Amino acid sequence: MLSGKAMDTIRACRFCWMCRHLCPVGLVTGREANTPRAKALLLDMEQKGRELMGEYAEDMFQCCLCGACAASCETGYEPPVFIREARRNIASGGLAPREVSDVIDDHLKAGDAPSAEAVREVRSAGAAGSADTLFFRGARLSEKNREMADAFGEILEKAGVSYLMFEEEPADGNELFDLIGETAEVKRTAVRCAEAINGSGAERVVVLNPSSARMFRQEYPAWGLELSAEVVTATVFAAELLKSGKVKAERADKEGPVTFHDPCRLARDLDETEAARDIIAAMGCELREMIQSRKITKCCGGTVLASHSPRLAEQTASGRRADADRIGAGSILTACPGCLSVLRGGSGTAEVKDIFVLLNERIRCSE
Amino acid sequence: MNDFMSHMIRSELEDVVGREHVSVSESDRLTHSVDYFWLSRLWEDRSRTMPLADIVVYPGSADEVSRILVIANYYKIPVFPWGGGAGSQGGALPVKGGILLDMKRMDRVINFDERSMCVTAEAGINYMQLEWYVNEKGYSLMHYPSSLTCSTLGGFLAHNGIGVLSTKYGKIDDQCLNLEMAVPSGRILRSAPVPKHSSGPGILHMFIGSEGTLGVITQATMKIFKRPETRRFRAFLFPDVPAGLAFGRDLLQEFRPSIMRLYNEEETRSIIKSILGVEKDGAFMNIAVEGNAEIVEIEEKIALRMCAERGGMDLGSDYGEKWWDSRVTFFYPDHALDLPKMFGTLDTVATYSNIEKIYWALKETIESFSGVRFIAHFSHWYEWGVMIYDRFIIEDPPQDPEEAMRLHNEIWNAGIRAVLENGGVVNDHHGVGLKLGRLMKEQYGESMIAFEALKKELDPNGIMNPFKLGL
Repeated sequence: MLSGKAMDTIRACRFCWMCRHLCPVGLVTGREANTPRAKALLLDMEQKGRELMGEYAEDMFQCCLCGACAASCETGYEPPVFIREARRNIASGGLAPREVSDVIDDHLKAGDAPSAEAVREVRSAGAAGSADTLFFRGARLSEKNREMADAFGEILEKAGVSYLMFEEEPADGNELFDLIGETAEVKRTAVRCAEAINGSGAERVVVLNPSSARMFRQEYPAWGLELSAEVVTATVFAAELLKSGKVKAERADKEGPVTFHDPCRLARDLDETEAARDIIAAMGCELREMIQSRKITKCCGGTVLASHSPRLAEQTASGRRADADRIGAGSILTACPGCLSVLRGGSGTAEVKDIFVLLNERIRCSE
Repeated sequence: MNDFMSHMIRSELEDVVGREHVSVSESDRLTHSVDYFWLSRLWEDRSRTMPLADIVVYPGSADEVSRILVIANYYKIPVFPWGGGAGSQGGALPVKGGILLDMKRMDRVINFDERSMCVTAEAGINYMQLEWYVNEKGYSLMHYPSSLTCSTLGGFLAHNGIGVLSTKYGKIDDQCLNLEMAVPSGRILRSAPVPKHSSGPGILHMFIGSEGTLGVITQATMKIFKRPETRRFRAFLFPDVPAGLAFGRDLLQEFRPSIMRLYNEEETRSIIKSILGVEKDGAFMNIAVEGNAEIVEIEEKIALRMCAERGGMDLGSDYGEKWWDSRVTFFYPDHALDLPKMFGTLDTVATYSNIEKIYWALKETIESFSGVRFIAHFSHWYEWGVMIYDRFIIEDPPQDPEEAMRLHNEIWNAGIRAVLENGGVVNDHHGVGLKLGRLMKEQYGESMIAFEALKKELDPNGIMNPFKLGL
């Protein structure tokens, strides 16, 4: 069963070819099935009575849900709406490919696992009063990219910002949402996470993973879950610290030309493209833009795809890294733990770096 | 074909491209069964199944294409090349089963020659991606059809397409320096390195527009252009179509604008009013002049003077800029024509002496069908003539798909015959495909032998894209 919005989108997209040039998966595989049109067409055929779910199950999961198609649609249709709902139906029908169902099971276990939701305070030198900022790392990803979370934590400390952290961070449900859509299991995970954040007493939650920030700002409110804390992305927070003079960055002269890979959730869902560029400018790096940047950024593949289809994610990441190599960038910077890990799994010449690690190396505290 | 031999042939194809690049899945076969052709969309909409390929193959190189064709030729299996699948003429549909050859894996840029102002790429590259590639280096391909984001280099060449800037920068066949084509014998044929020569008839132009009926285009070299220093728009309103046509003809004797589009009174009242907000009656025209700023300034002055001399009204630059900004909006869902309407674009091209005759004959023919609306505009201008982009629209066509197909084909037959009787051609830039193949003999008569001879020699077993182009 698909929603009315999904069905309207399917009927619009089944005969529309306009966005395929932006599909990061379609571009690297060359498969017609890896286009929004093809997915809509198959779902339309199924709605008319053809039994196809077992046939198209794999195709529906060969998508990053990056939203490039939706961002370019002049009418405003959003193919991820019907793809996510199709995934929900595939998973609930027990037809997900084994690699995918294994990943779903892992996430379901993580969402249900008891977590120590107590918070601890990290005091920064010179900070007055008790901490009112919660640093939400997106633990599952940050474990793989500790350097990024550690670097951001150090930036906060250098800026004199005391902060709270969960002893054991609850899952926010963003990856599970991409895998099985809007389901009771995802909402249960979201409720636990929202209660934990609200229980922390923080006035502000600074979020490292843009996918988590997108959940907090967009999906949670849509499900009636209000966070008492203001949600700020790590990128915007760091840019503000620089702008306010709480930290200053030394020029990264040795860095050579860099390019910035806009994380999809940050650029398209949260409409935040300039904070990262402000940080890069503050470090004095020469920024070279890829054509597919900002709103039309090309997804690296994403962590969900990488978790069940690592070979495909490697191809997609290599496709993105080729964009950076073509413009002669020495480094490709990003601001998302997921992008960092997936891009590093691809091949290319430009070195993949995290913007916060680079910033942390160049920060000196204000006097 | 029996099950045993199907598996034998599949394993041969897998040996060429790798197992992961061969598919017999129903989802892959179904997604290649519907293209932009109205009848294929109707069939799908009415829960009917379009003909399916037996097997889908994704080659990764010209050598692999060549080896696939050798296998197909040996077993006499039809081969249907597929680029973006966005054609409106059914040109890529696998109407006889067999092998669907999806070319999109072949997307590499092979050479960028800035000195000679050209770029060579594999045929499966998405054209917008190729445009962005040359944009990064400061240039443009200057081929901007509405399907720019949908289609591949090979697809554009196979049907000989055109973009909105064609009046200055040419059709895609004007922009192609050379190409390479694999044919069923396994040979890879190459046109001369340059398009202009006296080394025999141009092989290049035998292959461009051949719609996959002779072989598979595997790579091509395309012109690149310096990006214009300035692009300036101007909109005019003429009392009627003949006045606008006369202006266009005269302007082309002076210089070439990049864009020149003249809309008939009906299209001015409908689409131009709703999209651009032009409220006045008449024939709306927008033009763009571009390039070196000093030259453009002079060209704009000439256009304004000639417009005034011919009774046209200058509407300023805003409408043209708005049209440019929204030129692809017309092709997105809810803006583009779509089911349940029946519609078709009968684009053709003719000399200035014939184009008005075609316009009136076509209008009369189309409007003789009950409940059919006719709109038209003129774009893609030459010193000798112009293209007319006529459309028929039926708001409430028959529900029964077979009945709708008959009516659809009757309108097309009558429309194209009216065009041919008055000096036009079967098609200007969408191609022939399955939709119009039956009418090719009516255009060419005995001259079809030239195409048939090529087909017989290059594709003796008739495996390449059967039932297309009238071959």
